Amino acid sequence: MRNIILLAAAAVFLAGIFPSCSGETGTAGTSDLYLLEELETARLVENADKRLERLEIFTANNSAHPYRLLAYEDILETMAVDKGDVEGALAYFDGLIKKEEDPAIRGKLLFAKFEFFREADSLRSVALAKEVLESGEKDFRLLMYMAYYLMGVEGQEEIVDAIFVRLIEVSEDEHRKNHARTIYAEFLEADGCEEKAAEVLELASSYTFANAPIGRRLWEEDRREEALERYIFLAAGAPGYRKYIKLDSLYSVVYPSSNDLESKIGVLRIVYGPQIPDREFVDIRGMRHSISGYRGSKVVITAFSPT
Amino acid sequence: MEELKKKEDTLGFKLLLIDGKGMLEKTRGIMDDKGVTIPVLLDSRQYSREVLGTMYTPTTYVIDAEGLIRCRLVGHSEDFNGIVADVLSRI
Repeated sequence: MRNIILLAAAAVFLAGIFPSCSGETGTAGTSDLYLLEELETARLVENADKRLERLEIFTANNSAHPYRLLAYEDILETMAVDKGDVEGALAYFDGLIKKEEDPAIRGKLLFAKFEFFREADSLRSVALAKEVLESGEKDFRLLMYMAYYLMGVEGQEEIVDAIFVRLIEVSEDEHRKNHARTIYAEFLEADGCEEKAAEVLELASSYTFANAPIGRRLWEEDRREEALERYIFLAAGAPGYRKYIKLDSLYSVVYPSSNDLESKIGVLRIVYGPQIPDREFVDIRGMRHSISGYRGSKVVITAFSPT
Repeated sequence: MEELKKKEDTLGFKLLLIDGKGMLEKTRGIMDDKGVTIPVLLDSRQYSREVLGTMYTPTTYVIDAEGLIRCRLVGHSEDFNGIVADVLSRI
């Protein structure tokens, strides 16, 4: 029963980390909405066997569409929870990993398997992490999540270190690389390697969240003006941190007669980033949108999660 | 966010939400419950993560009229709408 619950949890987690997908952008037209509606109809089929059949038809008909992963998740949950076939679900899972050609989706499937083992048997999760590392997998999120979760497992420092080194090596995108460096520094600090952690963090200092630990260290070293510079940068990119770190109070301690904190943060918020490429979307009401269609207007886009 | 949408005409911008999880009914339910009328784009090919570089949600991007990213705000805060309004006035 425990395995069933854990596998279900892994399947739910799989939904939570719905993957990044590389490759063709394709036509993100009304078909996305149609496919989601079709998938949700399949999910509602009460009979588990019939539901499985519908979901398998969905994956067969949409084997190249990223939403196939959502159907995989439903199939796993139906097999493990509704039908109680944990072994069958795991075998199905391995089959998916073996045949999946999209590295991003394979990465998410591997992570879901890792997550299942992590809950059921941490030694198997470590073995899988080693296997993944040796196989040369480069999926950023797979490696990131594995490193993150193994950070909490005693005695696994070596593999965690190796995963972070790989992560930083394989990340071509500086934003991702700095995200990995920031988490790596957290691991190094917890492992007693403060000096190396500080070096790694400095390399990531253009990344918003690296400035939380950098600022904290500087403040503790009584380098308060430098610490505030880091904290202001942090608050510019992550507004909630202004209150969380009590920035206004810290600022008034160092600069008791200044009232320019707001303007300093405001100036740092403005960047000169790249032009975002065109893409077509359909919204949940069926209306079509394109990025190019909004050229000439300022646009505010919030990436959010309904969970 | 709906309060921010009401300022679209005054501040001269368009507000969009983007969702990569594909939980259609859940998203529709949340939007209906909260009376949100902001368009929610279905992001099947992970534009948000792969192109915009989203690491955490919510992350808000302010794009200028030429399509350039001019601000990235991770998370939320009590004064969020004011912050966005300030950014829009600066670009």
